[in-house]
Amino acid sequence: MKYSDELKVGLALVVAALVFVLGLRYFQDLPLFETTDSYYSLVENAAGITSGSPVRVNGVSVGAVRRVGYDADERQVRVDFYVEQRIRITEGSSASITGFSAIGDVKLDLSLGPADNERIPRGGLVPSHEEDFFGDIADRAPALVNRADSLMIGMTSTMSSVSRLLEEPDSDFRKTLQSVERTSDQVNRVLREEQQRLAATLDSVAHLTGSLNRIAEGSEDEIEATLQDVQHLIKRLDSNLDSVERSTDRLDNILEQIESGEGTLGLLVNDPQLYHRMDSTVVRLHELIDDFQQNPRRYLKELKLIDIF
Amino acid sequence: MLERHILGPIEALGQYVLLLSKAFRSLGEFGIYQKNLFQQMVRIGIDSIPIVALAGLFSGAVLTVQTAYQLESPFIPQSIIGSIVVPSMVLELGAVVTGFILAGRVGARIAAELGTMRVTEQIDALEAMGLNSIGYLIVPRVMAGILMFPVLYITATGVGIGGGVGVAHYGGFLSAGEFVAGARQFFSPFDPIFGLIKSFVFGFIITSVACYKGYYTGGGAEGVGRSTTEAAVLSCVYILFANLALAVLIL
Repeated sequence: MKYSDELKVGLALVVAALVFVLGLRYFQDLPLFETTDSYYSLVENAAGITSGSPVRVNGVSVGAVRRVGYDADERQVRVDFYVEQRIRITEGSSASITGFSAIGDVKLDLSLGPADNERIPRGGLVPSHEEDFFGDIADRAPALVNRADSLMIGMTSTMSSVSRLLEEPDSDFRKTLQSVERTSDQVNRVLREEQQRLAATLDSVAHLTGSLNRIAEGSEDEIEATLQDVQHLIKRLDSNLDSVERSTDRLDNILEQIESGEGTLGLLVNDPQLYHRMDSTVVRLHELIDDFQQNPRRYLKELKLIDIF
Repeated sequence: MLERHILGPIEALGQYVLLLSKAFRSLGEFGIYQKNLFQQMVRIGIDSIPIVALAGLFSGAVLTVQTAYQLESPFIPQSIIGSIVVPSMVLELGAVVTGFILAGRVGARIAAELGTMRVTEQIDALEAMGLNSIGYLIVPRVMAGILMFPVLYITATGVGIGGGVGVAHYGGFLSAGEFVAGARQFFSPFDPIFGLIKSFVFGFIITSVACYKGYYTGGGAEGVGRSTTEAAVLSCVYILFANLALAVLIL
């Protein structure tokens, strides 16, 4: 089918115009087909807001700034902006410019009034309230600078006295530092010497271990046999010790009996009478033997052993 | 020497301005050029849409890739790519790329057409028949250029931004959402209007220079070739000058 030139041209122009308008609205963050209401606000300072800056309610973009200009009558900056029609801008709403122009993130923030209030008519004035962030900083700046200044002065005097201390050749600080240095030198020296000695000791220990190892490796069997013998010996010693223990027990018993005066030995030990009697007996026996030696006839007369003669 | 280098160009300028003033005087005679106008609008405008769209697509895509390559820094948010590519396309590339392509495609064609008509004495024949040859031949071409060039500019810019978003999104540079967010952050509604003004001016320059060169062709087939080349080259040069002048005067 052949279209007329007029139709093609007309269609191209309409499509282009549509694309242009919709593209413009799209990149301005405006709704493509919804209608918008326009309002204006008067502010002291434009603070970097330009046409195309977003208009936001609670952080959501709902429109765009249309135009920013100076109102010579009001002696204020007049900001015209579009807002989607569904947003009810009621009495008590206010607008403020937020963000930093250095980051290119300036926007017009609307805070809506109560929903019951009457709607501000289209093209009406939305009062502004300034959120002067930088103004606050600027107000506080002098005090801050003064404090920073005094701080700097104090730091300077401290630093100068420290440096004076360091510079004086016979200040305490310097002496202390020197003695600390000497001490650390000595410690270092001692450590170095000890290090050598320690190394020598460790060397000899290593040497010893080595030779021990060598010996052990050569005569493992003998050592084992010896150890077995030793074990055997210990066993026997153990049994001997058992019998010794038993003997000691019995000796203990005997000694106890003796102590308590039982048996002959006990009596002998414990009864002095018996001793005395034995003593006297022995004395008399002695006299008797003496008498026998001096006068054997007295006793041999009666002896009939020699009756044969 | 003096005649050739100073008086010559001034004379040419005068001739050009006189031709255009005659053309504007015959603007009212709509009946003469009405049929020709729509024909020219189709030839200059509609028939150029594919090549212009192709050029826009590729310039947008290349611009995105190269901006992403240049801005590879952890301190710069990726969305900045969008805020560089979109204004670049809208302000500069959409209009200038279209202008250069049409200087070759349209300017050369108009100059060759009119030049051939001149050397084969068709223009004289028109005049002899009592027809206003300027109104009949030049006005519809210049009008078509002025009217259709913005359409081509919008095509190139739209397709170019689309190409940029596509390459950014599917090439893994940044998501389409980030791209659009970045573009919106620094978007000024005046930018596309400035681009539109540029495209009107470029359209006028290309078609009027080509018509002038073609209408005053002399010297047979060789003359037609020379005026065709001159039309294309001079349109490009004047587009560059006009681009700078507009940027300085309007922005």
